[in-house]
Amino acid sequence: MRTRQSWFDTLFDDPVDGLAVSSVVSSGRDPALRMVDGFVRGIAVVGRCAATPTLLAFKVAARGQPIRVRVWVRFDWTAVKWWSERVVGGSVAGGRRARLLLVRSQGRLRHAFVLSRQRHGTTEKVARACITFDLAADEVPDDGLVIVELLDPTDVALPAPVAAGLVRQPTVGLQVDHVEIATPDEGPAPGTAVGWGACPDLGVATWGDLLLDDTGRNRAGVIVINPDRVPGLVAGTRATVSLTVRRPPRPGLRSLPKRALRRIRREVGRRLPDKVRAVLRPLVRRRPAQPAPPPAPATAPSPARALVLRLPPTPASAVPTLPAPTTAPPSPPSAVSASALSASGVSLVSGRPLTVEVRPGPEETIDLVVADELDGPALLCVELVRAKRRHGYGFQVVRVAASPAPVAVGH
Amino acid sequence: MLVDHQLATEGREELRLSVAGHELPRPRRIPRITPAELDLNTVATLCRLELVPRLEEGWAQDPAYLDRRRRGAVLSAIYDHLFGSGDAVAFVTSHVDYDQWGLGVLAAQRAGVPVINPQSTGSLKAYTLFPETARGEVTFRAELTRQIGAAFERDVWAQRHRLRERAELVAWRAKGNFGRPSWWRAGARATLELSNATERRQLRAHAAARFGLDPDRPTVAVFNHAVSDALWTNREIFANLADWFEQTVAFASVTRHVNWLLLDHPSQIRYDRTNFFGNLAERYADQPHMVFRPSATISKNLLWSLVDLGVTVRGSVSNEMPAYGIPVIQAGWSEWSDCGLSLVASDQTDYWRLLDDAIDTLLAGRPVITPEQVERARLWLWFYRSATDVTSALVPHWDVWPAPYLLRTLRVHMAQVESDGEPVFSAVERMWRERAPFLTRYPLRHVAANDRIAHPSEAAHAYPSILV
Repeated sequence: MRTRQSWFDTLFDDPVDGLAVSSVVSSGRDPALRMVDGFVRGIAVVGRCAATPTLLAFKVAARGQPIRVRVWVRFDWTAVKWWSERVVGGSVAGGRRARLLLVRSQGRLRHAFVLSRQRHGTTEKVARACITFDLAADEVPDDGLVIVELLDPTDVALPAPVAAGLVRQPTVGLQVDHVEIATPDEGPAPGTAVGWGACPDLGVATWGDLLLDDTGRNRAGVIVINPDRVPGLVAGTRATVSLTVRRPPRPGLRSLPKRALRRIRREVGRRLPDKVRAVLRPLVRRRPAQPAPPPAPATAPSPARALVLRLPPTPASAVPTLPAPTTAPPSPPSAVSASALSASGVSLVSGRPLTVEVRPGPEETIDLVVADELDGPALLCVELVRAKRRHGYGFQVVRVAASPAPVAVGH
Repeated sequence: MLVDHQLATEGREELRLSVAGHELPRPRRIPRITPAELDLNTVATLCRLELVPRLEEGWAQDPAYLDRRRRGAVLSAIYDHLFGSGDAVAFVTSHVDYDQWGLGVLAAQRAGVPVINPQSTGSLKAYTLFPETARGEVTFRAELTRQIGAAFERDVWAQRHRLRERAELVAWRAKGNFGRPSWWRAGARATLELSNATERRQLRAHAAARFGLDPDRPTVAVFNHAVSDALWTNREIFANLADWFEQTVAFASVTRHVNWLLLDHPSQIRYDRTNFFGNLAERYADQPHMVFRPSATISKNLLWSLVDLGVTVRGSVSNEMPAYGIPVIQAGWSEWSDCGLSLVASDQTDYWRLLDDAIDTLLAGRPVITPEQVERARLWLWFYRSATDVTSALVPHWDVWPAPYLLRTLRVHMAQVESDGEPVFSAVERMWRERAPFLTRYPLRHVAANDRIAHPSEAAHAYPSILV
């Protein structure tokens, strides 16, 4: 028993030690996870969101130091099932759609991300992201909490395709793998372009495919960027997202029913002569053969850091098992040109529409340059305007960077 | 069936009642139900059956009303016969409202028969009104409010120093939603995890942002009741529950210097088909300082961090919020309204004064609630969830559910457990002997400071047992 601190306290509430800076919470049973709201605590993971909004609050002993908060969120098949059970009562169709989320901490919007399990055309899914934001020393009182609230962006007028393609109650089912409280480091040097594999890991950008109707043919792409995570993005510079937009090379073979494809693979593996097998094998591989990867895909973390990131979860180290930042993105041929693409944007903080310029970039990439200065997380929407079969195409973020000044058209 | 037969014969046949083959003698004369009591009971019954907060103009001439009133009169006469015969020891009823139960309660009171109202909100709870203890209050529940208040003062508050640790333990468990009554909030949003003012201030910013409210202004939450639920079965200071809510919302619309959170009852769909709450929300949709929401969509953590003052007629928030330092104004009586834990308005003038005063005090940055009210509220939690909740497998806890589990628990207990010292029997016997208004787990006046100390044995029986 002890003295009561406030009316919320009872004589049976024991004081809890806050998390030291540089520690990881990897279980919902961790006593430092003081409060959950719309969330089911897990045992080997922090837990799973059961309602929108979701709120987690941690006791952190920052002792006057600024901290970096990193929260790994996963959009898995169980998330689809949870959503369908809790939101629409059975149908899983809607549960597969992309999830757009805002993250509020200590009363302020800090981060945004989108998760997608769609893989139509050539778009790579981003089904796992790392929410990353920094808190100043005076924002983390020792007797207070570090609050992480996941929200639906209800107050922002989103571009029409995005509004149509997203799911409502987007947190429901998402799994929080673990949470890291760390010291803010300097990160990549200002001006460094962050490659596609490192973007979700570093909290720079996430993206996904949007299904605009139930046919699967009418689609658009959505990209969410966090300017505070883009190295060197300050006043006077512009955020630039480089994409490739391509059509898959062998739509006929790729679109074969799965069972038929499996049978062909088996035949190739067992019966055919070696010479024939050698010819056929590239054609029936699970993923089409990759041509040369786009140039300079990634940068930021050094190989040493990448090695650290693959360590299993321990209280002392952070843990992602995301693709190595230097992995080349899949980039099949049949790129489309910048003129076939339209893009729009909106600030997820103020709801202000953003001007997004579409420019041809080097090596068959397309640059989306956000002409306005960003006041916080922003959403970009891309659509093909001059393609007959839009569902055959996919887009791939190659890198995100701060460009010093607007680049002239035709660069 | 009996009522239908009597209605068909239009009262020409003399009423004859037999119980277990024994014909009840012609009853001694007891005062008949007054027309005003019958009117009130019929209107409350019709509102509940029709799922409306109030009847439409001209209801007194409505055939549906007249038909229900005739049925009520016959039912009341049957109850009069039953309780006036002199053979009834007690009227045991799970409900005390509407015509099928409420008229029986009124008849039993007129006939001087004790009324026992068991509740299944925990294990076994029961409130009892003995005729000799009545003080002339308007209803059964109002009588009990007075008696519970007096007993709480005498047996609980006067012993608060010995009971403090027990009350703190229940308050701690209640934060985690343990020991909850059957109708309490459940699920992933029902726990209270705040532990100090800094945490509350931080969470408050998030809660206010969700509703578009200014976190630096005081926030008043008004908890709409299930609008057709048991009208007038305890003292209410407005014409009905809907009038109270409408007038309070109108007051809120012109009191713009505070935030107002107007919350609907979680089970409203079973009590209202007129969209009463939705219509009000629509009418005041242009008021940025007012937010209308179903209460179940807001978690307890967020609610407790945002709300500085609660307002209700008889809702359970008026005993739960004060236990954690949030004051509540009541516009009517409840089981606990005489226990000194909430601000109970005596009439409408007093209600508006209480609201004005509380808002002014909050704006001045001073606390509305007193430490004594918080302590009383925690003692109430102990009293309600522990002291007056009798535990025995003879009446399995409500959470032993579904029915097959519950019935098996009961069957095993009846078949295998000897009845010597059965807690239910001794609790009922004690209540009967002491003419106490409620069952207790043990004699309250002899409760030790904590469970590890044995209770002294009871005094010798002073009254004959109900069970012989």
